[in-house]
Amino acid sequence: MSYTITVNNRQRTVDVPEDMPLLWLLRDELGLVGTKYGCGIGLCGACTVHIDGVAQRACQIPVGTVGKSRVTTIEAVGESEIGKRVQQAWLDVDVIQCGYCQAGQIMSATALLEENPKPAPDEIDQAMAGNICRCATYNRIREAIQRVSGQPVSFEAQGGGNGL
Amino acid sequence: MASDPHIDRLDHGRRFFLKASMLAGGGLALDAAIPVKLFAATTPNATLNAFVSIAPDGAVTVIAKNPEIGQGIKTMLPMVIAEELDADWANVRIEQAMNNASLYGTQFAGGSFATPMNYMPMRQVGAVARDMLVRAAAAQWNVPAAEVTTNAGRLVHASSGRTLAYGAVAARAAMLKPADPATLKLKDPKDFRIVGHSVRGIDKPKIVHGEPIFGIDTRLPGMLIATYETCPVFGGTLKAARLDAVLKQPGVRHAFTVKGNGEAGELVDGVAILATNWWYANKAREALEVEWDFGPGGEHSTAGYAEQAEKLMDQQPMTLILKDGDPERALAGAAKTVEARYSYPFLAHATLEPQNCTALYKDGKLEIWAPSQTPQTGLEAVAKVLGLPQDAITIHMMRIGGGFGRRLMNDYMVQAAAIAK
Repeated sequence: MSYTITVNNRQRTVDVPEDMPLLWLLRDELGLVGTKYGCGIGLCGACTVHIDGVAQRACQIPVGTVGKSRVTTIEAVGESEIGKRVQQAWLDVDVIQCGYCQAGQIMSATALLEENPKPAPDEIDQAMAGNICRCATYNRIREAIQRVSGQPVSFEAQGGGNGL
Repeated sequence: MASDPHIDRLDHGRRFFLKASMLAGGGLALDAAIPVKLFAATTPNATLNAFVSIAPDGAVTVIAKNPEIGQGIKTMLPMVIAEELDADWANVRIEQAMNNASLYGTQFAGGSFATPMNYMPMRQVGAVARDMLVRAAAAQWNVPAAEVTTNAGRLVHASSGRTLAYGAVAARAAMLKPADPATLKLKDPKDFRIVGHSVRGIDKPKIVHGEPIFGIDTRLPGMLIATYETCPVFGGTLKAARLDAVLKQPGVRHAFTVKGNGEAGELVDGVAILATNWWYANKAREALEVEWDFGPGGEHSTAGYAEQAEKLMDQQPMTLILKDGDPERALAGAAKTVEARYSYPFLAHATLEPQNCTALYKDGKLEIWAPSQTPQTGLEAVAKVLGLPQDAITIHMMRIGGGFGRRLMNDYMVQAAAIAK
């Protein structure tokens, strides 16, 4: 089945079954490997992308349902002002350890801040709850989001594991 | 507060593991010694040793020897080299080493040993390269080497006021014989400019932009993606597989059985399904009809283990792990006692990056891209199982999306290699 979908402001035509999840269209058909395959069953959040600005798990979105919606991935999230500031905050706070989940974290954080520029701590936790970080960088993720939103950091950031 | 027996047991296990690593790594100090290999100047960059090369414009390339798993080692070990090299950190580029024990010594990630094992050898690597630059500048200026000092990427002859950039003498330095590191004076740590300062991980900007740096991001022209169906029971073997229906599934290019050697950490029997897209390969498993011989492992089950554990718990303790003070007397005199039994399931490592490996077999040579904590062990396993000489195998050490010990094993490397071959 031939589909033309808009990914990162570019029209891409692909010939795939309608039930192929967007994740494998991005990674294995279009070569956009920044979106990560973690669990493949919508539990880890590593594959989070924006569909019309809303954070969605790409492994749970069949290609056939994308239609004319705009898909944005980690490769292009920095084209929005908020996305760029989130990426910079991730570096400033030194959020990343192994880094495998962080594309998904950044996509969820950006979607949150686009919709809610000053999220309360519990709103941050709620919006980020579906993004698992196996190195446990959660405190620094919250700190980075609070920095972007211009709010005071609500607690001392602590390190996680070391990936080993 | 080490009174929780579970905590004590964890610590005990960890110490045991670290000790084993120490023994295994004992050779490192010797192996990692200082590279004396000088390469012919096939590039404009002057190669001072296996770890350091300097371009005419002063750009310093430092090799990071160990696998990067988020612990920051790809940045940290080059910092140590750059410190003794007295390089300007702003001019340092870091390159991940290939797996090559003869050039770089032991290369692995596990047990938090990289810093203690490599700190002195990496300092010596930098000091040897710096000494070569110093002697090259001395020769160029026709002054004694003892009068030449360095300052963040520049050579200085104080009494004449002359200075030279590292890049200007690197080619000349590369022709010199490296000194015995034991004869070189290392920096006083109070003079450190790089070590001891906060330096951000070299690849973190790539991660926030979604650049392909993890093992699973490897893409080669025309590559296929395989799933490998294995027996759900340890020790099981493949009896039969019917592949006709699998081969008719969308996107599937090949499907075949692979005979393993029975070692779970190397290669177990399985069915490889190769497709143009992981989703096609995985979906085609639904069409696979396969029969396994579970073997004696078929009798094992989580419920069976739990039952056995309960029985053992009812018996007298077999080993005393910890006794602190006089618990019998304390409990006898306590106003209230609480008794509880705790049990843990077997833990999955749950690395967020699925186990994966890319392998290219061509003309008797095998090239591997793997997120492995122990690439050298993987290379040995691949050579053994596939019957290839070790020097026919090269391994690119890709960034690892979490290991937690799972990637001390290299089964996925042997699987990918066997499928590629």
